[in-house]
Amino acid sequence: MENLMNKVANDLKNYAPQAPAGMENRIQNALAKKKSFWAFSWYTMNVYLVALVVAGVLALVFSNPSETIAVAQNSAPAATEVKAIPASVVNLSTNNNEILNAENESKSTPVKTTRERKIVQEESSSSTMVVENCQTAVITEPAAIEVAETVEVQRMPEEIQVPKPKTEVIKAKGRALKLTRFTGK
Amino acid sequence: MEEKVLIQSCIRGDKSAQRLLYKKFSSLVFGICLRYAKNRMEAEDSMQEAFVKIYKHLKDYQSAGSFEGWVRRISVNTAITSYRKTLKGRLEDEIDDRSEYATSLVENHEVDYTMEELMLCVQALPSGYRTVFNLYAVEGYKHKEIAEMLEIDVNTSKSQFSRAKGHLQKALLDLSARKISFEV
Repeated sequence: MENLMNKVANDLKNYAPQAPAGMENRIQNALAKKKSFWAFSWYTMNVYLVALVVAGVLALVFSNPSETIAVAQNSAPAATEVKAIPASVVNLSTNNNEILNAENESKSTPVKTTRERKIVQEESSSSTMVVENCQTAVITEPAAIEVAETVEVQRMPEEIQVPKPKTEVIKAKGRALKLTRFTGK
Repeated sequence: MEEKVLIQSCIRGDKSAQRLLYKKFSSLVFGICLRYAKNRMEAEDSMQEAFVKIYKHLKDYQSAGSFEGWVRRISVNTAITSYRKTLKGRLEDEIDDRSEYATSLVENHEVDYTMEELMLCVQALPSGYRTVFNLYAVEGYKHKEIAEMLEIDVNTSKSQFSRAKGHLQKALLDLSARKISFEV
């Protein structure tokens, strides 16, 4: 058995059959294909050039200068609209010191301004109009005129100085006091 | 052309030198690839891969050992790599008891075969058996080395070789039996 295996092993080791026809060309083709990606060739060079030209054309198309001008023109009114905000605020503040204070507070501490707005909303509907105009970010020219008209009736902030919740609290205290007084008596 | 000159020319990309190198070693490489492959097509693919490796790594060849040995080693390694690729995701464990039966029969018979017949018998072996058999019996590697090369256990290598032997003996016995019956 070992002899047979040795014979088989020897025969296999020395076995050198004729290589199939066309194998050499196949190997040469495989070698050509396996060339490095960075290896220079005119074909790949042309591909890169075409790709570069296409990329340049696309870049030109997407960076059209007429479009940028149009965008700038469109953006100009928006900028004036933004500028209108402080003007309206100034109009309001010249008429009423209270609103000016509230506006200053809103600039420094936004939490306090919201409190002010709550109080005004509780008081009357006209006051909310004024305060809302102060608060909103975008105010157009007509809106500013409206605010100016409403500012003429600017006694509401004075009303704010005498808030109803406070009186209620005082009343509650008074009752309590009265009760104590009664009991004291 | 002298071997060193031939190698240097091949490194420079000389087509005629590459052709000469191919002519000199194509039979050897194809023989090795046939032994490790399942069929002729697989062997051709393996041979192509081996020659591409040989041409690409010629500059790495140090003339300390024989060039033929270097070519042989590259061919065997290529065959092992393709075996590993085919083995991925496939658990091959064909166990049968034919080896015992074959051993007892072969001892009493004279087995005669041609090289083509022997090659067919080898190719009919399961790929794991075939690879271990080739590495151990033909290339002369030890089971430990084979285990490292194929990333298997040493005992697996031993058992696969034993089974491969059994399979081969049985196949050769069947072949000679068929021949005798045909002659009679």
